[in-house]
Amino acid sequence: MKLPALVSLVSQNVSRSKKNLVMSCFGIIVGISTFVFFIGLAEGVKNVVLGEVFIIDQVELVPKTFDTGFGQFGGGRSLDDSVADEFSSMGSIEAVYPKMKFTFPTRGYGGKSLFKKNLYAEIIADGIDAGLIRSDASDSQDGFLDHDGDLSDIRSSCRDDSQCRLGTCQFGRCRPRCEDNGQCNDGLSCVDGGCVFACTKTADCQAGRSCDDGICKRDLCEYSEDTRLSACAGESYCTEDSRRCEMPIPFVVSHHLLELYNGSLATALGGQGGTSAKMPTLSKAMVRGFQLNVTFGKSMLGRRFTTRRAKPITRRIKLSGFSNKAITLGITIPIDYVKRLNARFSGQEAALTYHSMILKVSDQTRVPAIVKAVEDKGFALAESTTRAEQASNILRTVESVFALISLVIVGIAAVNISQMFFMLIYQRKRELGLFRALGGSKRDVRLIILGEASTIGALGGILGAGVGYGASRLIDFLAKQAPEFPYKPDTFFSFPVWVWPTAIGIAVVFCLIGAFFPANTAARQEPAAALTE
Amino acid sequence: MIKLTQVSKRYQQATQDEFALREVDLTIDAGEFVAIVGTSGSGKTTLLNIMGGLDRDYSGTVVVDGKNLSQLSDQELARFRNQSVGFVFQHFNLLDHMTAAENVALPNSFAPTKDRKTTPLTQAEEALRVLGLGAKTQEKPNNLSGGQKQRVAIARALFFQPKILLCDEPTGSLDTKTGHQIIETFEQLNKDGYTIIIITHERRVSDAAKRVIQIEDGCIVDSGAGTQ
Repeated sequence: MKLPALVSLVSQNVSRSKKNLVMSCFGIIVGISTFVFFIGLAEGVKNVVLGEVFIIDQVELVPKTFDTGFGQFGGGRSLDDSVADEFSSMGSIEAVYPKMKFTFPTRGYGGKSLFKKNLYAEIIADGIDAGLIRSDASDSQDGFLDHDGDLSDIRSSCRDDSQCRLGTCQFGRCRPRCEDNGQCNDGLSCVDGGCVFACTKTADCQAGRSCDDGICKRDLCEYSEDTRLSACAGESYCTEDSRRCEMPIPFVVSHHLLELYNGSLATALGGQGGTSAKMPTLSKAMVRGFQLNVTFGKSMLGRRFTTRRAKPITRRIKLSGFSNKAITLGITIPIDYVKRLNARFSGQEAALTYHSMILKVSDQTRVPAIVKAVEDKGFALAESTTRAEQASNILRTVESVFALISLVIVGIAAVNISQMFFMLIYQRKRELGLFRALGGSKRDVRLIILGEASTIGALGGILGAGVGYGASRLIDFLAKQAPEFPYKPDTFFSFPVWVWPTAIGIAVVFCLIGAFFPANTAARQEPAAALTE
Repeated sequence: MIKLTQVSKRYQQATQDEFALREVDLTIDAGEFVAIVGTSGSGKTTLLNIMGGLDRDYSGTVVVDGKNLSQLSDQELARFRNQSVGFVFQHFNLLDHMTAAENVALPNSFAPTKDRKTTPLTQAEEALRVLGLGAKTQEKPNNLSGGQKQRVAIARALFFQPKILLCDEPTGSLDTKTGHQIIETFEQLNKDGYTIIIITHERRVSDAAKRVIQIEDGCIVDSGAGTQ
């Protein structure tokens, strides 16, 4: 039997049994719509949970600690540049991003422009590669770069290398050592063994610097509390300790910090018994570019936490934007700032040892192998990675359960289809006998029945997929009307391309399974017996 | 053309097997117009089904147009039914959801090759025109009279111009006048060279046949050789 003839016969048979078609399709539509809906939901939730809350395409490793019951003690390998190089050379690791925390207290104050009065807070900060933050497309992070990349230490000046904790003393400042331009950060040039911002004229330099002998040098300024913000050009300001112009340190925060503030803090502080002035609800646009003062080396918790190694210094920091890569509670700044500050307040060792490292994985399926390599090399997984693994397993299980439920529904529909086909074959016994008399073989009869089943499956599958997708749009629409909450996504659903052919394929396969025995029964029927009944 | 040798068929009953056909020997030559007559349950339809390859559950040998039917595979037998024989039934067996032309072209759906110059529907419409149904090609069977339905069924049986036409009580559901027209059609087809085998109860049909085979209790009691 040729395919066009089969298609023609099948389409004629299906279209004349519309009632049976609707009845058969109903179960398939319910099952497939459930399948599509739950797979979409599970994938959508997975995207949010594993893409934003517990990021699964990266592994974060920390030095191993030992719990003695009286507290945790270090003792494992420390994380330094050699470890970063080790992991960089491993296959399937796209990039290694070291992270460094402040090893000294910091307090911040400011916010009068937003809150009508200055607020004080202890600042928690992480330093991370500026490139990693800039690779996150969830928001713009304009200006998130190291404006002081030509400095290796925070010192007003130096006479020789012994006065630099890191780097080399050159042109009166401690600068990162280099042999060629490649060893300097972006925008810097290697001049006489040190990284500098090279220039031909002052316009080539950032605000607060002037071109002098081919190098952008900081402008000197007259410091006073009243004029410090206006004493320098552009956004730069006058620092009290060095009496030179500096650009504010850029920082990014997590998207969820704003949600947390608007959802909880603003409400808590705005109610009765709270501060007299109601706290405003903030938007990203309102806070972008927001600046505040921070004092490195001082704590809100009292003088006993003030650093002794070096005098506290005050700088300005500026919000560049929002990022999924930022720590949830606290601020995230370019790591080289943290290195310089740690060197100043905690010594050279603190500037060379990282607190954790993020291994960006190119292929998610390689994550287990990389986790094993991390453990083999004597490191532990950060809690975030462990939680990501657990969350991933839980989500996978939930997704499997949902898929199984859907398949059970489709399976029940297949039983229904089987019964319907047995009934149809009984009703169409003479017709099938006629087909045989006119030249149809057993195979042809089987093909006709299975063709009808697969048509019902395909139609049910397409309709089911449409219903499932429609239901997801409805849920998203209703969710949009609901109040904001942390991690609220734009959509709760994600439909990978494979969902559609899989859904229709499952519908067709289950219908074929359901029609298999009826088709065989029909094919085995003797034409003479069928025609005489 | 058709040669049956020692053909028997029995149905299993609760107590003992019952023979529908018993050691039948029969030869029908090309171009014959044969009527098979006998009482109800005598084995006429069984004989026709076996000759047409609709029933394979028998013993003995059936050779039609040089083909030993018991040795054909299911596919080969299907092709034989499609190309070598045409069936006409008492109750027409037309599909109500198809037009007259589509019913006539139905055998084409099971044809192994597609090498005709005209489309199957055009060919079917031409066949209907020849049988006087040129105005009814797009009608559904429910809108046709009994005689028209039977002529549609005859056109379907002739779609691939088989050498043999097997007819089971073709006038059984028709009135006398219409039945007579159908008999005339078969006579004309026989003149055109078709071998026609008709099962009938009706005297007027057997009178039209050139040979009458009488069957009783599964046995041929008169092979009709003398009537030719």
